[in-house]
Amino acid sequence: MTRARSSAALLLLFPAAAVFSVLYLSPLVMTLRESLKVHESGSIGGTPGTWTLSNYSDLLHSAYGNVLFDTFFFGVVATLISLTVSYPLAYYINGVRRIWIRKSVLTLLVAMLFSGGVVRVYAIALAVGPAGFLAPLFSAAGISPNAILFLEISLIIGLLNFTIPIVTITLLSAIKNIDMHLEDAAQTLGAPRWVAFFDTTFRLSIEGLISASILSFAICVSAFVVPMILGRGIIVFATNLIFSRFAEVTNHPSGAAIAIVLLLISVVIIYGFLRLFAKREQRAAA
Amino acid sequence: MDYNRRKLLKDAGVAAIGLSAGTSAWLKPARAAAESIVAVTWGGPHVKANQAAADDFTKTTGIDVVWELHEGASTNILSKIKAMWPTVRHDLVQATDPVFYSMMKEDGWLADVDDVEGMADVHPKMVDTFRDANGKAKVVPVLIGTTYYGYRTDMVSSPIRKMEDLLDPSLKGKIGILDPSLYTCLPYVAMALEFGGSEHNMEPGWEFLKKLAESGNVGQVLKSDVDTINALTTGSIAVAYTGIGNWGKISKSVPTTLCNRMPESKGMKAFLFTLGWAITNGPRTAEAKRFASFLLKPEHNQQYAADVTASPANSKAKAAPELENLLISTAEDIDRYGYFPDFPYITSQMESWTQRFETEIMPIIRGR
Repeated sequence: MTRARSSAALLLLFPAAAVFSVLYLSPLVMTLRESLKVHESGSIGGTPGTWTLSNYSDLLHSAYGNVLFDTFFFGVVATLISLTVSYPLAYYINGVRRIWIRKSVLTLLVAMLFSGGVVRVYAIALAVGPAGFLAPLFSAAGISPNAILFLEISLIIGLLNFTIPIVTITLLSAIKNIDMHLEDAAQTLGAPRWVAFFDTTFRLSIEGLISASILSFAICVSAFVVPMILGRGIIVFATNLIFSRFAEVTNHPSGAAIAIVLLLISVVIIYGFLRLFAKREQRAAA
Repeated sequence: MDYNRRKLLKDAGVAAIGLSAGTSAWLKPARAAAESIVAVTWGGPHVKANQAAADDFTKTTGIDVVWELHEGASTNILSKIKAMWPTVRHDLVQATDPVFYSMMKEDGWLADVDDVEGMADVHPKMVDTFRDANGKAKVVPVLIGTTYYGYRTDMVSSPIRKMEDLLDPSLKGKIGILDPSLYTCLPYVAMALEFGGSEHNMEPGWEFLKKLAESGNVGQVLKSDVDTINALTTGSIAVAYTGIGNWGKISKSVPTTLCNRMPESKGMKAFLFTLGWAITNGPRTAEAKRFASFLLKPEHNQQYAADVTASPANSKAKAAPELENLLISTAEDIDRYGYFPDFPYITSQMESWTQRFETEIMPIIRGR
């Protein structure tokens, strides 16, 4: 009976595994294979029948390290800000008694997901541009529109525009499953309000926070339009470099190598993050 | 309704066959029908201006022209063709020299075009530039394109007459430099020319570009023509390097000074290149050649050149007189201010130049 059940489970897994291998694994293998080919300047893609590791060794130059650093640094910063902004928002939406307020905020968040990404990024570019309504704020803060800091702030604003709705909705579904009476109970037993919150609701929503962080980080690291438009070609993400290699200089092997490196680093970071959480859980359980 | 298990299975089977047939048709590479050809061009005025020739062609032959537009740099099309080859979806590709040289390097991609009607009216030098090892012409030229520096007069305090003027501290953050993929490093070839080098000796150009990056005057690294037009017209930057058609558009919106006739400068030249059509070897090559002959007709070539702000390649077509300020088309102007870059050499160097830009220039601009 157990064997029959496990066979049935395997059978159920088959469609997903088939789709996954056709749509994800095989292109990944092709990308890996392309990354090992030699590219001749002026030709299109890799030369068939050749192989080299130089596409990877070229990336050891500090300039490419800077690109990867920017990609992950802005990913971490935008994720942290998203969590800080979204958690109170999700908490508020969950607790608000007036249904119309909850519905309005949720509709607004979902509507943000449906509006075109390019349009939103150009809107931000115009808002912070020389004639934009946010330009005086930057001037008042003493930040010149030509300064790198200006670009960095614009870029983070752009990333937050994409991450905040996703993070809020993810956190909302996590908070919704927590019994809010636990906070009341803790307060009844004498805990101050903030202690009651951190010891009950916040602790129980950590899994949701981790899911939201991973989602937000993945969105940031794979962002393409945001750095392309708001980075003004000065702040470049790995995705922009990959696009340039594939589409503009037709050096597919180099683009493929950058893509593989980006994927590996992302997997290591996320795996490390999850391991850290798992250890913490084990310690708590012990 | 009586619905038993057998009927359910039968209906499901029919639905599955229908769905798989539909899906397989969808999964096949999109191919133009036999009565149409696919031509790749740029958006904006290019596709609009080419449409007049397409209408004439369709009226005469009954063959439709399906347009596909370049996304960003025209080099993008190379990867698309490569991914589908030997299946041919794109019958004609409109592009410029570097793209044509890359296409000519690929075995069997391009059809011979000597027999395209009207080729005899194109200046032989333009045709000969794109002959293969067997002496066969591979590109149908339609325009003489020009690129050069220019700036917004209202945002620059003192006139720019030579390269060193770009280091003026009043231009802090006001200069847009180009990504190497855009106009194949021609603005940097111009810098090399200014200080005694050329495309064959780029060192003086790289040295000056480093100085420019260190000066803090670079405010943006432009990745496309749209970037350039937006950045100049919104005032994000004041100085840039772009094609003649873009300068035409920009100067309609903001006061502009063109650096195309700069007697004091050895590098601020008007760089001349060919804009034309390559025809792929495929099932619709004959129809594509026929369409190319319509594109070359004097009346279409003249109108197209006027619409996109350039000089026509057909000697029977005339350049629009109102574009005199923008164009470098007379023999005297070409001798004095024009420059014909060695594109086959530039194409062969793009790889190392791009890497040099990314590893030596970008870190300075980024401040690392």
